[in-house]
Amino acid sequence: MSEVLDVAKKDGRWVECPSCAEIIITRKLQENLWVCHHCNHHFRLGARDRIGLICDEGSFEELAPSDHTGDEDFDDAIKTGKAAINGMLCLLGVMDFSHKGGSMGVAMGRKIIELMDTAQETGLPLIFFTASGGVRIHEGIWGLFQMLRTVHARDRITRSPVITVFTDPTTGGVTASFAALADILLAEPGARIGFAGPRVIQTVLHSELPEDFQNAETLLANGLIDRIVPRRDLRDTLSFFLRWF
Amino acid sequence: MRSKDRFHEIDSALKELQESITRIEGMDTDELARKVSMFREEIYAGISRWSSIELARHSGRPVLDDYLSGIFRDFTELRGDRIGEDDAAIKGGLAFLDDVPVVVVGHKKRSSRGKDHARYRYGMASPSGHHKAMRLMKLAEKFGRPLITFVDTPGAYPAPETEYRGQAFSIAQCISTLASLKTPVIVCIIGEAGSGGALALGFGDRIIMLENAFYSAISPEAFSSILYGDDSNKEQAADALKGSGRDLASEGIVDHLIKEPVGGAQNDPAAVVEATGQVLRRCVSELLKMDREEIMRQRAAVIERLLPSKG
Repeated sequence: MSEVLDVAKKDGRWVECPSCAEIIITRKLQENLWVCHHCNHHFRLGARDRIGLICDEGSFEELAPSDHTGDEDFDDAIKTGKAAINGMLCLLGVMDFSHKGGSMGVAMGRKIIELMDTAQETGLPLIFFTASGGVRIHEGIWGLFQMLRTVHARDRITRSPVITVFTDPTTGGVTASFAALADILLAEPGARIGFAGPRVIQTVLHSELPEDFQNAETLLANGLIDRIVPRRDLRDTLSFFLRWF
Repeated sequence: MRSKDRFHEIDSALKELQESITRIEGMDTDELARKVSMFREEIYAGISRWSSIELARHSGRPVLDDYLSGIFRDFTELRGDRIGEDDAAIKGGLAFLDDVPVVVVGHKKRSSRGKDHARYRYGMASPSGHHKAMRLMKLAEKFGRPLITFVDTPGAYPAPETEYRGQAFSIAQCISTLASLKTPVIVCIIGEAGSGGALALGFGDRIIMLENAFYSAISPEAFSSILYGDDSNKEQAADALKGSGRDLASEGIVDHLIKEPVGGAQNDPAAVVEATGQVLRRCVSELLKMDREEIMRQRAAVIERLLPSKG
């Protein structure tokens, strides 16, 4: 069996589900919005795929970066822009775990804050899709301070509703800052959402961790998020909120 | 050799030397004493960032209770999160700083001379602790009293039960509460200041920091594990994190750097507490003279400019 799994690649004709290990035809998986037919595992999506899935076709306009000097301000771990969902305008911040683990450093912080300031200026609803291992620790204290800066920027938004959709995985300083402070907190099924990574917890406690202790379902049961939304319902659910606000 | 043992050995060797000096008769003891102190300076002057971290964690370093009893009058503890718990890792209450009523809240790593770290989870707060801290912050705001925080934690407590109770959410709320609190906030960073747990109490209108305290997004051991697979490069990791009081003062993040006695704060806790108290008094009287709106404006401006200098 392992030989079959080894040749399975996302770009190929077949994909192995990391959750149930079933082999799925890539085309069928794509048709099912990258959700496993067998076990409902929601595959991680890059920012481009996510935007394609959520927005009306061709409606996404990336926010022009302002005052950026040099490479350090360029950050692909988040895409920010304006888009329409079922004809309703909104602002989007979509994180991409495949770029540096979606980590939040100075450059990402700046993009998030500019997006938030745009929300406050325009009054457009703001939707975040989070996927991140936390702050970019390679930037030392400046990574950590992005938590404070994004929280501060979030608290300045009085005119626009803010929605967070937690996707797999969202941990560390992103969960523990602006993402947790949205007006509405949604999550995809099975997404890992938490503060400390499992390895850190194990180092401190020296014990086995309960399965699923950071799953979206556990957070919902513990009253930490508002709703879990299957991927096929996301557009409609977001549309509801855009209409309501 | 364990780091604590190393410092202990150096300190006791110096002490022995000092004692033998006093026993020697007919010699120029002043000259010898001067040599001892030079020896001490030399050992500790070129102190590495990793050594700073070891000092920040030293078992003899002054902790929250030392500052509470050494600086404030009539500290009266207030407990509980009002949801169903009281977290011993966060201690706070009301006190007078000279004649000024203030609210104080901080991480309690252990009691003054106690080896009771475990009881306080080494100052690692649970969500309950953050909720207690927020309650006290809002109390300060409501009655227009200055809020003074003491930061001394390796980080927020990482465990399944703290995840169940929303550790990340409690930290985010605490940061938000602190950043928008409509009363003067003074932060004293006295030991370890690790990650989001530190940030939950770790930003205000004035930041006072001890020179060997260490503020960082992650411990050097964990950073080394991420970079190299294990903690054997913790010294380099500490250098990369640049989180000592001296580093943060040179970045302009810290307003007042408290110099520690040669060898670290554990060599003269009373002097460190006294020096911190003096700076604290100055900060409080400065901030009390300012208009509240002006304080809020300045704080917002500082947060917005909290970026590394280019170059």
